[in-house]
Amino acid sequence: MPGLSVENLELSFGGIRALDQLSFEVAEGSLCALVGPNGAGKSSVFNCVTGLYRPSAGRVVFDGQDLLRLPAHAVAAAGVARTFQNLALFPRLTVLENVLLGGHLNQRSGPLACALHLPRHRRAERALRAEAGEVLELLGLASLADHLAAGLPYGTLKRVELARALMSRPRLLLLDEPAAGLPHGEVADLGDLIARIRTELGLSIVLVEHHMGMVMSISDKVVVLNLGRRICQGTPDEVSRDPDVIAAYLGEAA
Amino acid sequence: MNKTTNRILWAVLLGALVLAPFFVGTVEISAFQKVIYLSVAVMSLNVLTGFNGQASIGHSAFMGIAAYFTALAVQSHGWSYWAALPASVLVAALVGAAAGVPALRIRGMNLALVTLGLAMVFPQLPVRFTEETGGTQGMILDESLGAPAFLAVSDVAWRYWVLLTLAVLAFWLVRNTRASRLGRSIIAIRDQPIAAHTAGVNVAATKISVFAVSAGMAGLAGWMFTVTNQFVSPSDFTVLVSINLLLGMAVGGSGTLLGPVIGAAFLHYVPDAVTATGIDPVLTPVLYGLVLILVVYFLPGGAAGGLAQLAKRFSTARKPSPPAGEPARPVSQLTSSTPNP
Ligand SMILES: Nc1ncnc2c1ncn2[C@@H]1O[C@H](COP(=O)(O)OP(=O)(O)O)[C@@H](O)[C@H]1O
Ligand SMILES: [Mg+2]
Repeated sequence: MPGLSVENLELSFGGIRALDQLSFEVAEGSLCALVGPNGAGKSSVFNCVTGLYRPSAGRVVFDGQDLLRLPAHAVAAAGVARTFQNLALFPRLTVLENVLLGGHLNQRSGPLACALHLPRHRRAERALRAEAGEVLELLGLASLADHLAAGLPYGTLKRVELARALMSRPRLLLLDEPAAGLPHGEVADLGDLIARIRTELGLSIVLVEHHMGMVMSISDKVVVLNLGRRICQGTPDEVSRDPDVIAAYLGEAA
Repeated sequence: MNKTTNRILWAVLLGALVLAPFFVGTVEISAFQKVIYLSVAVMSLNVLTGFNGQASIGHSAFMGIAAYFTALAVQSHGWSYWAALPASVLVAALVGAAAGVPALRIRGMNLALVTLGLAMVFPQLPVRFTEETGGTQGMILDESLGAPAFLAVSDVAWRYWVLLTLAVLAFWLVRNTRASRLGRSIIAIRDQPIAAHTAGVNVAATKISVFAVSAGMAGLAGWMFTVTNQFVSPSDFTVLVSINLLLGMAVGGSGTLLGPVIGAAFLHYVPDAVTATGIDPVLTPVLYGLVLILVVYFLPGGAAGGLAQLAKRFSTARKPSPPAGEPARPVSQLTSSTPNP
């Protein structure tokens, strides 16, 4: 099955089982939300998928390829991009350069072409910059292109990260709490933007988010985690009626 | 400072440097040569530390390897300086690549200690092979890099132009690289290696390559050293030289192009200036220490960083630029263009 399939992931830190026999699937082109209380293991799932954590067992199959066999830098080449819960930007690069870095694999000039400033490299660089300009425009960041990432407001930086992730033309996008730190009024707009990105670019998205309103309105499927285990999955409707979920998570949030 | 002013400034500076032999004496030109190889050496460290965030106190060793390689090849094996140029750079780069491997597992303080080991061992090698190298006495080269006969220029001026050309070439390559995807990934690794991985940057390979290129560039400075001085000795490549390079980088400003030149000029001229004022030269390290503390405290971007700040203030005084922390625009104001084809 194309799309993402997480199978029996096991991950421990010392005595803590961060992920416990975790399995779920994300159909191609769909938007799947991953929800659960803090410490449930949501970010750990992303870190396993992107090769930053090495689970002790399990598989992560994307487009028929086991991502766990790849080194971290090769996961991007397989079409996976992500944002980070606590921001992982390059503070001493400009906003534009941060976004350009997301397109690192789209422009393949070798070291010599770069160092010698060869014409074909310059053309490729111009094309990449034009593309980055469009992404910045889409995310309302165009006016900040030449600003260093350091010192910008948190919500803006979250969007720079989203721009950087989109710039790699991913087929699977992992978003870790994209709405955290946004003023309340902007959360719904971000939800619309994510839904639009999904349909317009036709990519699969896994969304970790605490704003249940946004999750319920844009997701095709919701997977609920608690203590590293999947306690429930289904459509937003099914999940919001599940008694376990109401007890473990939605209850306290509501 | 806008692009055009910047270009004009660089062009004027370069023009003046190229024409210098017609206006100043041999002594000054020799001094310029030293500033040139020091600039290249500081730049090599800047590429590794300033851009890529890897520490090294071992750059004196990379310089020394290439300087001694050149000296031995020319003096004992009849090579020309020109043949020794690529070979000595390559040897330094290979040793650098080997030194870059442990740098993958260790970083920060421990990496500095490993490279410190390299810097401490290197001056012992010529002593160990005293018969070939002259040991602590050093080694004088009979041959010099002379101007080709068909050019009616002095050897000193010729050597100066050779060094200047190579240094400009090296700086140009660094500048191009900095502005490319490779340069972005090098800085990305310094700032946030995890995100660099996730964006598809091969962090390990890049770090080793940067180490090799940086060491090769220090090797170029070493070749220039031998060309300039026609003499090498173990005391020219001690740990102190590495520390001076670090000082030059900090004073000039790391992560910049102009910084290493300022830093190198500082390293060369300040000790002379100290002597000229009649202060005991023994106190030079004290002065260095003082300057370092002041720079770190008041000019964290070094002299080049300070200049850039000044230029910025100058230009913003004339035309107001948008405030730094422009408030985030609501997502609802987004345009509807799609990012990808
Ligand atoms: N790098 C780490 N080292 C130690 N423990 C970790 C690490 N990353 C995550 N954990 C632990 O794994 C569990 C799941 O964390 P995480 O995946 O960050 O949860 P979530 O994103 O759902 O809040 C928590 O108990 C957390 O303390
Ligand atoms: Mg998390």
